[in-house]
Parts: sequence; structure tokens; C-alpha cells
Amino acid sequence: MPHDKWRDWLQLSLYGELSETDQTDLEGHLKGCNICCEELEQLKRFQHLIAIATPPRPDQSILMDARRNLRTVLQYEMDRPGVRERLFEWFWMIKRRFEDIELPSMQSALGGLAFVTLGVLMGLNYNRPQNDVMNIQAELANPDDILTRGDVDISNVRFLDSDPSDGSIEFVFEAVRSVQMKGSLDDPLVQQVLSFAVVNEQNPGVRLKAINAVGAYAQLSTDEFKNALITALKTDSNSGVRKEAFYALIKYPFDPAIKDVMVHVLTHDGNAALRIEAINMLHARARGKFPFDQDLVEVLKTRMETDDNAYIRTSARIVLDDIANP
Amino acid sequence: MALDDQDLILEACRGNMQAFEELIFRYDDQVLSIAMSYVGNTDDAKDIYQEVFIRVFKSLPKFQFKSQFSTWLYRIVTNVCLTYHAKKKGKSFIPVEDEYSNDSEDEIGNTLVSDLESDNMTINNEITEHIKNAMNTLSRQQKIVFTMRHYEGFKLREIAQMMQCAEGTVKKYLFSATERIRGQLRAVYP
Repeated sequence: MPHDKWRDWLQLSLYGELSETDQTDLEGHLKGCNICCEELEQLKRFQHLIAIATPPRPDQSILMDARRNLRTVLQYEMDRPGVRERLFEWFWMIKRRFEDIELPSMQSALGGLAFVTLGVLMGLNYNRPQNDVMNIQAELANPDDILTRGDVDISNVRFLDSDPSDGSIEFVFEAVRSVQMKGSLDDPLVQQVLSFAVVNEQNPGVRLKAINAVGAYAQLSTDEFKNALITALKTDSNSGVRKEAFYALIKYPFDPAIKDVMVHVLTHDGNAALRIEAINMLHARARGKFPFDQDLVEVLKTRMETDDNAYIRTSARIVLDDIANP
Repeated sequence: MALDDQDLILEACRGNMQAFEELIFRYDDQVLSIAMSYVGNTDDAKDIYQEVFIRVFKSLPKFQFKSQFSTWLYRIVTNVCLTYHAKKKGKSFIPVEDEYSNDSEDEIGNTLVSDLESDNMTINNEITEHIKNAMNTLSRQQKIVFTMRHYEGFKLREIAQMMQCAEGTVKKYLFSATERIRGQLRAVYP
């Protein structure tokens, strides 16, 4: 066999990807080949260097931030009208413009043009790439109207294409206009805005205030608020915000959704204080003879065995004892 | 018992966003990790993460359970990584057709030597930096294979499934990537 082949096998052997027979053949070859023995040593040194350069796992706060951004974009995806709705929107907009023209023959000609244009737009729409998620310009009937208003702040500009060499650039941004609102927490619009703030507001202080307001309303148990709190507890990068969301959520009845989020906290939250709060909450439920299902028992067992916090390990054991001996 | 991937996918397809989140939270830390290893910076990694899960969100109703969800997901990750630089019109890698050109190797060798002589980084940071530079000279395919194998520990067979190519092709990319990086590191770590 040529040496190049043996060299490939040396690499595969180090990756543990060589079959048993091939491994035996290679070991036989190595006994009589100094070149391959030297190559093996060099490959080991190379792998050692690569191991040193292994990038660290992403920080938990980066992951949380990525989750929050994703949630915002997905919300946008769900809210945006479908292709058919947008085509109708364009059609009616064009039609309204032509109705202002008084000359009938001109109306017919432009009407025909409008249909041709609509056809081209439909073709473009069906052939466009799938990933133009944030193409704000396509979403706005007339972006100029919005951008020229004095009370609009532009923020969060993100470049999709910052290279001007082809004469164009592409970016997305948020055009924000302040709206003052006063109303009862019963008002669905107020609930919608508060829930949005809990999940999406950039400033953690504002998220905290929104959670406090939502938490005060927990006795009425609206799904909108509860889902927002669950999302905040699962995904917020700020542990203080997650903690407030936790306190607000435990005011709700202990249903499967709350149970799932407790399992999530115990399994995934990197903040030991929050895991302790979750354990304490479950402990109180165990003493209150609350029935624990297999998910909770399993997660408690895992915490008891693997949590790096001694208090959590001990608490998990105590809760499990209480469940076993009610 | 916790729902398995299949149940979560079915729930998510019915519009249950919590099920969708639970599904992606099972894998998203590794997706972000792959993206970080591949592009080497947080902002681009977050962009890749977002693009991956938007594609998952849009395509999930078309998922036919012919493979594991994870295989399908990592296939999307691979595709997004491979097309990411092209989309950004970045120039941080050598185009595939130039991958066997030796010009850049000499340049990098010189840079590495001068880096070694001049800066005061710790040795590990220095190694990391050199390897990062060397990796940036790989083709996209070589880089993703090298990242998936060395940094994420995927088997060659799994990488072949993700890239939808033969295992032999993956081996070819891996061997050529290793040779290229070794060649460039030889100048500083003989």
C-alpha cells in the first residue's frame, strides 16, 4: 500500500474512525516503518495544538441574547401577512392611485399596466429567496411617509450587505414612534404591550417594571401574561429579570406549563440562586402532598447527583425523601 | 415523561410555540457553538444561529421524519455556515478554486514568524491565533469539516450526512484541511 494511504489511516486512527481490521493492519505496519511512526508523533503534536485552540463554549448570556433576538424575529415572521395578502394590498394601492385619473382611455391603459406589473411582482415574489425575513421595505406601503415624520426614532440598524462596491447596500432597522398609553390591566391592548415589553424590551430595568406590573395581575391568570413570564424565565439573559419572572409565575396555579418551566429552570438555568428558588418551591409543594410526576422526580434525581451546588444537591435529596415518604 | 423530538415537532407544527422553543432549546447551544467555532466571533455566530432557526421554523411543517431531527438541523447549520460568507460578500476565506494555491501560505508563514517575534501574547493565545489564521485560509468545505470534527466531535459519517456527500469526500476535505494547517503551522511550530 502506498505511504499516502498509511498517512490517511494514521489520521483516521487518531480520530477513532478506523475499523478493527484496518487498525490491526496499521499497527503491524507501524512496527516496521519509522517514517509512519514519526508521522504519527507529528499528528499527535498537531492534535494537541488544535485541542489548545478549541474555542470555549459560548457564554450563557450570549445564548440567552441569541434566543431573545430569535424570538423577536419569529414573532415578526408570525405577524407578517402572507404573500396573497400582500399582493392584494399592492393591487388595491395601485387601483386607488389610478382612480384619481379622469381620462378613461388612460385609465384602461394604466389598468392593463397595473395587471402586468402585478403579474411580474407575483413572479418575483414566488421566486424570491426564502431568507429575506426582515425586508422591512416590502412591508411598508410607503416607508418615506414614516421616515419623514418628526417623531420617529431609527434604531437597531443591522447591515445585510454593507459592501457598496456594487452601488447598493441593504440593511434593516427599527423605526420607532413613541405612543403614550394609559389604561387598565384588563385592557387587552395594555396586556399585549406589557407582555411584549416583558419579552422584548431591550432595557432590563423596563423588563423588570413590566414583570412587576404583570405579576401584580397574576390572580386573574391571563394566558398572555403567563406565556410572557414563562418566556422571560426561560430566555432572559438577565438573572434579575428571570428571578422576578419566577416570583410572578409562582403566583399562578401549578399547572403543566408552570411545571415545565420549573423543570427548565432546574435543568438549564445557570444561576444557582434561581435553581435554589425552584427547589424550595417544589419542596413546599412536596410538604403539601402535591403529586409529583416522573419528569419532576427525574429532574430532582439529576440535580441530587450532578448539581455543582451542594445546597441544591441536598435540597433535591430532601424533596425526593419527602415524595417517597409522604 | 418529557416529550421526544417527534412529539415536539408535531406540537410545533400545530402552532405551539412553547413546543417549538423546547425543541430548539435542546440543540441551540450546540448550534451556537458550531457557529462560533466556524466564524470565530459572536455577532456573526448569532446571525448564523438566527438564520438557522428561522429556516427550521419555516421548514418544520415540511419535515418528513425520514431522518433524525438533529441530522436535519445540523444539515441546515452546515448549509447556513457554507453560504454565510458568500451572503455577506466576505473575503475571509480563499475561494474553493484557489484552495491549492500556495501563495497565501508563504504570506501567512511570514506573518506568523513576525507575530512570534514581536508580540507578548501568552503561548496558548498565540497558538489559538495562528490556528485561527490558518483556518481562515481553508475553503468553506474544508473549514466546516475541520470544525465539525475537531471542535464539535462529530463522526465523519455524521458530517457526510449533514453535507449530503460521500464519507470519502468528507475525508478528502479533512485530510487536505489538516495538511494545509499543518503546513502553515510548521513555520512556527516545527
